[in-house]
Amino acid sequence: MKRLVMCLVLFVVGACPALGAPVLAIEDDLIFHQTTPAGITARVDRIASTGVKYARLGLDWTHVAPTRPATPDNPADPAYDWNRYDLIIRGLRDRGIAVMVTLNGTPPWASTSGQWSAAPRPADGAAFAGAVALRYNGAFPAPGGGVLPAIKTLSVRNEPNIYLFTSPQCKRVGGRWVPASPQSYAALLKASEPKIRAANPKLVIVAGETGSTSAESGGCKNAITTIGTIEFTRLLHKALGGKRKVPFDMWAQHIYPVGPPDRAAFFPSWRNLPDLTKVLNKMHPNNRMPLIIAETGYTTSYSPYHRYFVSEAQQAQWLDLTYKLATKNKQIEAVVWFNIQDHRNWPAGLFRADGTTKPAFDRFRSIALSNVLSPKWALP
Amino acid sequence: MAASCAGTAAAPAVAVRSERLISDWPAVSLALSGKNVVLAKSTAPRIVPGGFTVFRTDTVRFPLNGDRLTRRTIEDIIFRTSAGRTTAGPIAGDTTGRYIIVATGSNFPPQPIFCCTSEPRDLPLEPDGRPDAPTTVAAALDGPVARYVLRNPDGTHAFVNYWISDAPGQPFHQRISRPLAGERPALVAMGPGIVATVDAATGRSIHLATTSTGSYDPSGDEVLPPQPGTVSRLHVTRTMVVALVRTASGYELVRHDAPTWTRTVIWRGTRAPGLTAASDRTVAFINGTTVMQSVPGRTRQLLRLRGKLTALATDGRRVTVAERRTVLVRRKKTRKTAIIVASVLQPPGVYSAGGGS
Repeated sequence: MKRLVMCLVLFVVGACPALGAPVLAIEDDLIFHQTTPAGITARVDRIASTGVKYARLGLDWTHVAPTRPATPDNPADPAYDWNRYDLIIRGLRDRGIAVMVTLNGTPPWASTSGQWSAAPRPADGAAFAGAVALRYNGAFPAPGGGVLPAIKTLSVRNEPNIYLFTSPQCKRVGGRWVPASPQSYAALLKASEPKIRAANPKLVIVAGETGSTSAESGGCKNAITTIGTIEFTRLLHKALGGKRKVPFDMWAQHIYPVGPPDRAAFFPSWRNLPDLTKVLNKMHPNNRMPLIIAETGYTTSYSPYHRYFVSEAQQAQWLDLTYKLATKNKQIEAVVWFNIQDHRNWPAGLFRADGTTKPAFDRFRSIALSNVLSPKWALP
Repeated sequence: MAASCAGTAAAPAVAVRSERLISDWPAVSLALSGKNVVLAKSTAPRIVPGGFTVFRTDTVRFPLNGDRLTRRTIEDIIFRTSAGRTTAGPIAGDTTGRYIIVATGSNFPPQPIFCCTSEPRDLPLEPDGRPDAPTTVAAALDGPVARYVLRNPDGTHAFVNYWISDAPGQPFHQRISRPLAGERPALVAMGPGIVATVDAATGRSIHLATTSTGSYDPSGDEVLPPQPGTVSRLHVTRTMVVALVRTASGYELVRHDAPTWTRTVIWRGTRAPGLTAASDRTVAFINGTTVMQSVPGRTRQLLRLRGKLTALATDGRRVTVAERRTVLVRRKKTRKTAIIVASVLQPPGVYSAGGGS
C-alpha cells in the first residue's frame, strides 16, 4: 500500500508507470534444466534480482510424467515427479514472485507419434493441465508440510503453430496438405478448460502462445509447415465453433521485432498488433480480448532461431521503448522479457552467459521495481 | 604494379572454368568446401515502410558438378543485425561441405558460425555480443572439431576446440579453451591440424604448432628461419606455410614446403597482392587482374580477368574468385558479381580443403 501511495505521488510528476500498466515479467529458460536445490535456488535468486513480481515458467510435461500415471487427474499419483517445479514455484513465491505457467512437451505415452513435440491426445493433455491447476491452486499440501503456492495463469501449450513445439502442423487429406494444429489445439483447449476450472476457478487460462511467425503461411506444404499467426488464430476460432465464448480467458502472443520496436514492420510487431487483435476480439464477449506478450526481447549476438541481433546498447534502449509501446496498448495485460540470461540458442538475456549484467538489466529492473500491479494481477 | 614471379611459366588461361552471376557488387567472401563453393555476401537493405536499415550477410552454397558450378543454390545462414554494417567474413571449409564462417562487421565482435547441423542448420560457436568480447582471429575445421583462436581484450590469445556431433537424438557439443602458448602473436593462421603464429616482437618469425585429437600441442613446435621483413599475411596447411613479407624493396610472397619447410619466393612486387589464398600445396593470388597459382616448383597464370577481383579461395585442386562486372541488361548498365571456378593446373597429389581471403 505504501508503495502504491508513493507511486501515485510519483505518477503525478511523471516518474512512475501508470496504474494498470502491463505487468513486466521475465522468463528463465535455463531454470528447468536445474535438478539440484542449489542450482534452482541460484536461478530463482537471479530472477528475484531483476525486481519482477511475475515470472513465466515453462513446465515440461515429460519431466513430470515420464510414465503414464494411473490416475492422471490426481497430482499425488506416484508416477508424477513434481520435485523441481515445486522447488522453483515455492522459491519464487518466497521471494514475492508469482508464476505464469506454460506447459511444454508431450511424454511418449500421451501421443501416437511419441515425439516430444507431438500434439497430445486431448484427454491426456487435459488431465495433466487439471493436475497442474490442482497442485498449484494455493491449497494443495506441499511435501514436508504447508501448502504449495498458487500460480496465476496456465497456458496448455507453447507455440502451437510451430512444429518445434507442436507436431504435426499439417496433415494429408485426400492428397493435399491441410492445417492440423489449430484443430488439435482447439480439442486440447476444450478438454482442458473444465478440468482447470474445477481444480482452480481463479486460475487465468491463457491460450495462443503463438510463435513469432508471419501472419499467413500461404498454405500447408508438409507436416512441418509453420502456420502463420493470424491464419492459425482464425482457424482455431473456427475449430472452437466461431463463437464469442471460448475456453480461455486471455491470449498470449510472442513478438521478436526485426528492427526498432516502433518501426519494425514484419508481422508480428508492435505496429501491426491491431491486425491480430481484430481477429482475437471476435472471440471475446466484450470484443476486447486481453493480451499477454508472453515472449519478447532482442538478442545481442547471432542466434540460429532468430537470425537477427542488436547491440547491447540498442537492446537497453529498445527494452524501454518496448515497455512504453505495451503501456500504450490497453489490451496488453503483461509483457514477458525472454530470456534472463544468454545461451547459445537465445542470447537475449539481461545477463550475459558469464553472469555479468548487460546495460538492459538496469533499465529492466528500474521498470520492474516501479511496476504497480492492478487488482486483477494481485499476487495469487 | 611492378611484379615478377619466380619460376613463372607463361601459360594460357585454364581450360576448365565455369561461372555464375549474382546481383550487384556486395562485399563477398568465398571458400571451397567439398563439392560446393561457399559464398557469403553482405548487403544493407532499407526496410520500408518502417524506414530503417538491417545489415545482413547471407551465406549460401553453390553446388559443383565436378569442377563446374551448377544452377542450384543452398541457402544456409541469414545473419541480420542492426548493430552495425556487416562485411561478410572469412570462411574455412573442409572436404565434406561443412564450413565455419567468421561473420564480421562494425560494432560487434566477429561471430564464428558452424554450418551445418540438422536442426538448426547453423551453430553459433561464440555467442557473445559485447563490444569488447574476445575476437576470433583464425578458424579451421578438422574432422568433427571446429578449431579457432580468440584474441582476448588484454591481448592474450586462447585456442578453442569445439567438438560438434550431430548424431540423431544425441547432439553433442563440447568447447574446451586453453591459452595459446608463447608470446602474444602478431598474426595467427590455421589449417586442419596446424596453427601458425608470427611473433609480435619482430614480426618475422613464424612458429608452427600441431593440433591433433582435439588438443593444441605446442611441444611439436617448429620455428621457421626469420623472414627478411615483417610478415603481413599468413596462411598455413599441413604441408605448407605461405607468408607475404614486406621487405625494403616491396613485398615477397613466399612458400615453405614440408617436410623441410624449404623457402621459395613465388612472387615479388612493390605492392601487396590484393588477395591470397592457400590450401594443401596450392597458393592462389591476385596479380593485378590476373589470378596466379603456385604449386611446388611452378608458378603460373591461371585466369586473366578484367573486373575488380574481390574474393579468392582455393581447396588445392580448384580456385574460385569473385569479379565485379558491369553488364548490359535490357540496354541498361547493371552491376553483377561473377563467381568463377577454375581447376588448378597440375594439381598436387593430395587434396585437402581450405578457405581464402
